[in-house]
Amino acid sequence: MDFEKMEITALIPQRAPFLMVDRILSCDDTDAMTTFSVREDNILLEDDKLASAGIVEHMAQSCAARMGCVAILHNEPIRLGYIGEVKNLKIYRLPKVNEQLTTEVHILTDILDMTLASVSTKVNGEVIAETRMKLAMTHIEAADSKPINI
Amino acid sequence: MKLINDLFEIVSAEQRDDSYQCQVKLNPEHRIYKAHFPGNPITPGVCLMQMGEELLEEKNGKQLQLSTVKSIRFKKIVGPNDKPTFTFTNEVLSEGGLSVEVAIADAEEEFVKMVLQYQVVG
Repeated sequence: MDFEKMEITALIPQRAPFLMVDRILSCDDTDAMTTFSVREDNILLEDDKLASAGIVEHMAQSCAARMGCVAILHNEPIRLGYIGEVKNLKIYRLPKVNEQLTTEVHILTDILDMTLASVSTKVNGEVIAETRMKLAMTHIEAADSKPINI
Repeated sequence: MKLINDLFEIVSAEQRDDSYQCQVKLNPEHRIYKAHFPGNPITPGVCLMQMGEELLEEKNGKQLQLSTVKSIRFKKIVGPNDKPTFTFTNEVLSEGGLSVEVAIADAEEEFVKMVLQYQVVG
């Protein structure tokens, strides 16, 4: 399954202008990698930088994109999820417009509808933020979720 | 872009001995609610985090930047028609920055609990 070729909207339920991931680069049972460019029309910019809210949302949507890959592999619909907990988040600097974020998601536990992941976001190899977050999955299917044949 | 007077507005604010309380009203027509999620409007948790930061900036007349989240627990979803109150306690401003605890709740239930540290950037 070539997830990196898929439109991100096939993997996560968020839509513009609240889309904070461009693409998934890789995904397996325990790890995923995503990318996101900070554009000047981003809704969470502050001056010419992505606000901390944008970074955390990008991290959460990176986890959601991985869950989307898992859902598709199991021929299940994309469902709405939300952040349950954020722990030990460090933000070292805010990324500027035109910078590209690369984010690594490492799954620590994945039980029922709750996922605990460690997430780290880099710009050109420099870690700009890292955290541990819990994501909860609801049973609500995304409004425009379509089954995808694989 | 600030969320204040766009996604939300302050209904009332009160400084007490050991806490600062701010009730807010959300804007259910905001485009964020059409994107998060289509047909299922839910206030993004990160926007609640950002709202807390903007309320603190207003109160202190300083520009803040989140540097550390010790913890944030999202216990219950905040819908577009909720009118939650932000309660700030244990606020400490030092040379290193500003640390604070925030609870977001209404009369019936608690939505979010946060323990945060900011850098003062302006």
